[in-house]
Amino acid sequence: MHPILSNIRALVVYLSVWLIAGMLFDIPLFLQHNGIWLPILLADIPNILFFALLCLSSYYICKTFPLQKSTPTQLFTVFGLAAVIATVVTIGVGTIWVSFIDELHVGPSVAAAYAPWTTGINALGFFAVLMLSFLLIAAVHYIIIFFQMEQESKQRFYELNLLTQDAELRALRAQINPHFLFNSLNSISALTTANPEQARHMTILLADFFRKSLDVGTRDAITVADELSLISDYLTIEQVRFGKRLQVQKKIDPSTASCLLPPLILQPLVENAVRHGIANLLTGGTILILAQRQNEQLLLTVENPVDPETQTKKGTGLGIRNVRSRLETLYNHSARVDVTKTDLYFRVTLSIPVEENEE
Amino acid sequence: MKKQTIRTVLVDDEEPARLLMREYCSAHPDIEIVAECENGFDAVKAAGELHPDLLILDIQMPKLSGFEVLELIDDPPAIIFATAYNEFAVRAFEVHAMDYLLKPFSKERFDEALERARKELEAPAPLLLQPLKRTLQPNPLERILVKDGSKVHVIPVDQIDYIEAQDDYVSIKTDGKSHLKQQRMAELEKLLNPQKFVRVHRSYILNVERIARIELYAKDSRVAILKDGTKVQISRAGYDKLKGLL
Repeated sequence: MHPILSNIRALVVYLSVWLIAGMLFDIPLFLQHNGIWLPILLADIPNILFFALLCLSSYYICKTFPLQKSTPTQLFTVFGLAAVIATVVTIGVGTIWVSFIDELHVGPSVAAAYAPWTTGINALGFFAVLMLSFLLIAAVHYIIIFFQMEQESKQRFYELNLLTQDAELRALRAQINPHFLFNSLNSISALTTANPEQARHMTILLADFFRKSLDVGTRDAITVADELSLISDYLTIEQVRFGKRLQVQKKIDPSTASCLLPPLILQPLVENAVRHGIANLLTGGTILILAQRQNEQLLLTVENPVDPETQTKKGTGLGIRNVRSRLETLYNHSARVDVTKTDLYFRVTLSIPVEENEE
Repeated sequence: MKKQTIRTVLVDDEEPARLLMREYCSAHPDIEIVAECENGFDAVKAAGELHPDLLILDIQMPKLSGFEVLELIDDPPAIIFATAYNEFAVRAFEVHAMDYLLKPFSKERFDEALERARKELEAPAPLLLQPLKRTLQPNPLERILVKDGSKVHVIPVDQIDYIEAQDDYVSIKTDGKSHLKQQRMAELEKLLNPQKFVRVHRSYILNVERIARIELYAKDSRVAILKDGTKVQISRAGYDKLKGLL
């Protein structure tokens, strides 16, 4: 959308400025020739408006050749050519129009009045004025584009902020999964008489887990090591409930430990692996957690066996969709979520650009 | 009247949960735990072999949910559900459960549930004890359970090619195999997703996704050729229904 053409008020202001400036040039003519004001107005107003509108086309050239991405030679050639064409067209059309007005004989000849400016060495000056005007308007367009981009990036920034906060809130809410809490409390209740030692251990694990979740939820990024420690607490609690049915295998490349990632991005995937994978299997299975680095990307994988006869229940996709939209807002297209689902296993891999903790 | 023991089966896939129920039960001399099951299959088997009076049942379990276990027991005992989820309470009432315990529950709350079951068992209200099997299933049905001796087959509905009526039974055809289940066609038809399963004939319900093509068979009668080559008869009314869908 053209910023001036699409805004009627801007267009009126723009054309008015042109008309006033153009008319200023005509004041000496009004003083020299009696009764010329009518043919001059008839000839000049359309001519000025024609050129003014023609100058607006420079916006599209500015868009096609952004300042940052174009070489000076490119800019010089393109705008030089455009200015010459615009000027030649304007003078051509203007001359025809002026002779048309003169034919009407509403006053002294306009062409004759203009003659001192449009002949000889002065013609070059007239030509140069038009070209410079065209280039001036092009410069104005570059300035408008600059402000537009600034506005857009600001808006994007606010949108991103909003989305991140929203995701954090959702992640936190998902974090405090009530059924996880109730089942864990039920286990603790069972263990208090049978195995007080373990009951106490589990209470502490549960407290640790929730404290860490609340803490990391307020941060922008945490290290892989922090996220894994949280996951480790979570899995230890679930292992009390599921016993031997829940096995965990971790393959963590040590060089990933200090890499940064958004908090609570991997934990929901592990929780899904337990709830939709292990919990549906009679004899349970092994959850595989992988962290590695590959070409400046941090790869995090959670894989779990699935029961081929259990149909995926609602809610499975939601966790992954949240993770995907969070990564998209934070990393744009440089992060990816890959989901592989077969009859036997379910695997999610997150690919995030490597960013290391400076501390 | 002499006090009888209540033969009880505990069903929960989590060891600590069973531990807790065992402990709570130990205070009641009339409760005799005859079996502890860690999944639905074991529960169905135990119920069939031991004919308990009371089943204390978790709902969210692998393979078979607590509700599915109930569906598979021919002569269901009194039921107390014990679960961390409160969203199943309505369904639990529909199957006339004695009580619905929300984990974690106190000993007092557990005793109360047992007391309720005790009263019910002493003066049974036979009608109330009969679970309404029809209300057990989620709508539309996601899988069909077929009992084969002591074994249970779980058939996801997506795997069904077609269903054929055979007297009081339905024969469910999946991948060249067939499973017999005692159920009426009309009843099953109502439970299946009408967008996917169409009663194309008095004797056939067809999974529309399996149709390869439809050929004219005789006047007013057609035959569906399934992707594996099987032919299924289509009546005129059935063809109209199919046309409306495809």
